[in-house]
Amino acid sequence: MIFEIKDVIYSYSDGSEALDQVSMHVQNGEKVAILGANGSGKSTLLHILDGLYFPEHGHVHAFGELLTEERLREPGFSQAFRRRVGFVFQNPDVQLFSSTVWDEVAFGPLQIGLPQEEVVERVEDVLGMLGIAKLSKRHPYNLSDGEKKKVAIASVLSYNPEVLLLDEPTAGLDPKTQAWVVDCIIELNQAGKTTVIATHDLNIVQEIAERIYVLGEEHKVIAEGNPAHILQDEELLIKGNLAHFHVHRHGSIIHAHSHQHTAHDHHDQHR
Amino acid sequence: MNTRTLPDWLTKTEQFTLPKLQTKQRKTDGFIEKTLAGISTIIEEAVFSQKYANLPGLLQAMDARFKLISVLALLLAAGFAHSIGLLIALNVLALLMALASRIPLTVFIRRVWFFIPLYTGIVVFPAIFSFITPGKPLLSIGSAIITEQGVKAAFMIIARVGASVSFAVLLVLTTKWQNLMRALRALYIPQTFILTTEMTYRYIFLLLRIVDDMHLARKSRVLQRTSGSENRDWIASRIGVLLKKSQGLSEHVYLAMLSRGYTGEARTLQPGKAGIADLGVLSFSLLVLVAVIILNWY
Repeated sequence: MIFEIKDVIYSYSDGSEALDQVSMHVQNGEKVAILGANGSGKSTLLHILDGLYFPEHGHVHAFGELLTEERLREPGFSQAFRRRVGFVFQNPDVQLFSSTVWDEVAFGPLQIGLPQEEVVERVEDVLGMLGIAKLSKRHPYNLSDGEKKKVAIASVLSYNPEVLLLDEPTAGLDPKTQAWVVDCIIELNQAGKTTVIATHDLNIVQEIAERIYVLGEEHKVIAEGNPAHILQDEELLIKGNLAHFHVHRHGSIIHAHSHQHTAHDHHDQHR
Repeated sequence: MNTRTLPDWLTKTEQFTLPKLQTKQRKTDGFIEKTLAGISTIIEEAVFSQKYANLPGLLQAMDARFKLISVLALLLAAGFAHSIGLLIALNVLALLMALASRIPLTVFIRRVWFFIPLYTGIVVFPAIFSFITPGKPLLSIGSAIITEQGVKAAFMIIARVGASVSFAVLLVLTTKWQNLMRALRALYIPQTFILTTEMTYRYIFLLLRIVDDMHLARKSRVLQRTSGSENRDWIASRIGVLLKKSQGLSEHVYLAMLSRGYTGEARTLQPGKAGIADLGVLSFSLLVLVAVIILNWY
């Protein structure tokens, strides 16, 4: 078992609730999606899985060990945990804090104490593999959103974590880069990485997940299941604010139907 | 079923005719536009200055660590020089180094000599008069007498500042920011200081872009001319918003660093080895420093 969280409650500093009695588990090699509308608590849940936020109630186990603030203060535990879990933040500007792309990708391997030669080799390999070697000397300020996302992924892959947490990996990207990101996630999972992805993009869930947790507006898990099962449940998607009723006119006929913004089945489901 | 009904007024098109172009339009650029134009210039200049750092010139070819030490030696030489001849020679040396580094002289001179008359000139101006520097009269304007010693002292200060600024500008123009930071690391400047400076440089651009966007978003929705006090109120409130945004950003950046194994002490790559050009320019700069010190004795 990679992660096991039980009855987790978390509130923001202003007192508003982010997660309420959330339980979930992630097995080794799985691809799991956390599906939910904006503000449902997906990002917070990923922060908790990465040991960046700590729940007020409930407990989190990672790799069979209890994950707490105290444990992460132990250098040995912290280093081993950080090596095993990589987190790609939703906003690449948060993640890209170094002055060049090369330095950014080297940051993680350097912090976990890899030898200098290995750091250089890994950075070159990852930049080459993701097709961004030409960006290596660029300042993050000058990159496009798609390039920033690729560099953010590279900056995590360079220290080879076995678990990848990705927060809205396709948000704000053009279709070509979205497809690139999805292919990259699939390839990494096939290579044995466990992937946990927070998203509200119904287009990609079937490809990036074999199991889904749906977070509702009440910040609770309202469903768990495989993508085919979840995506067919209209009532559930409307309850989770992931689909809505849509009214429009075809010639002289006005009609209403449930509506999901997915690329493959737009309009098909209600004909 | 959740259907939406648009209010009546939203379904009607309101007609507005654009006024015809009138001759002799008064320029209405307010202080916000001017300030933001200035900000954009700063951003462009910062990015633009990398252009010279990428040219294949003498100083660009040097390792930043050796360049930093060489420039420090030349700055010391400018500080030690006590004769006008030596200071002029150092200014000429800076010009030659700019030429060897393929920096257009107009760009270099504008960067160095634009602010010097403005700041240093004003500061040293009183020193040319006899009530500050008594000596041999050179010219009298009413009761004020300009002395030869005063003019000489003022000229020396301006020439010294000119030489010092020239060497500093050469370092900045010919070195990429990240290499300069790496050079500071190699000189045992505390890592925390360097990391903080690097991140400040990185995020100041992001915050400036947010400022620019906020201004444009407002401009696109302002339908009539706003008063100065309204503009000031808006600026003050945006400063507050920006502070909150930067706080939130800093917290998230810290989490992103923690997530990748940062423990409070950043580890960095060891610097590379020096080349012949590095040792050549470094030796030359140290030689200039020693020569200036010796020449000052005679």
